[in-house]
Amino acid sequence: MYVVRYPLPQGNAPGLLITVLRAVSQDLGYFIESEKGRQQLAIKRTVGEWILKYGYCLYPSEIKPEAHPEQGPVWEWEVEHIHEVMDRLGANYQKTGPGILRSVPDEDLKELKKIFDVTGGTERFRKIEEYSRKKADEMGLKFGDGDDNEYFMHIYTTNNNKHTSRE
Amino acid sequence: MKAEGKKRIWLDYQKEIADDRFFYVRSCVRQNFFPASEKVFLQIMKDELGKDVFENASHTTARALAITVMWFPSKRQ
Repeated sequence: MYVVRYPLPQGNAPGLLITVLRAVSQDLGYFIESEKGRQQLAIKRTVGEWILKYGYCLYPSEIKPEAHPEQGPVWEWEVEHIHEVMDRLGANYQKTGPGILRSVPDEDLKELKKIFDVTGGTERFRKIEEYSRKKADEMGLKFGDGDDNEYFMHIYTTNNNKHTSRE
Repeated sequence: MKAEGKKRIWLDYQKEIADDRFFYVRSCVRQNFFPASEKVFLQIMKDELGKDVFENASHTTARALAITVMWFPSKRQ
């Protein structure tokens, strides 16, 4: 993850350029014009919101096995028995104090939110929602909160299978 | 580019790693998918190697993801 911060010996930093281009795309709403760009709403509503809600970009209670069929029945079983599994693996899931998947204190979550507020992250979240709603209207798809709506499921599941094609 | 020149350039990117007294920054991906590896890693560091590893309950994860993958500050304060 640190790689993008430092230029290559040639003096450029491709990761930073990509990050900046994506930021501009979010600010100006260009992201809604491509299949992969539209998926930024899904990233915002999962990874993005979970960071602020739990302090983690991934969090077991939010992971739905039906949304990840590639993970198979073992994963589904693990989610169903998450507390017992985490205890046996030495985690501190949803408990206080340090440790694996501990509950992050409220004051720290408030600090995270403040960081998003002052650096423009919150405003960018708002724009992702606003532009996505506009695109949903344009496409004639129902738009709503969370993942239980037509537009979200469309961007989550649609794949034209041409992203790696040379044709 | 000559091999000697390459070595000199990459020296700028070498990081110094402490011998002891670490602050442990957890990975949210690893905590979710490989929690036991986090436990074993700390066991090796603390119990087997005798290293001083500190962690804090207030530490939130996903900083790297938040900053470099999906979210980039649009305003510099």
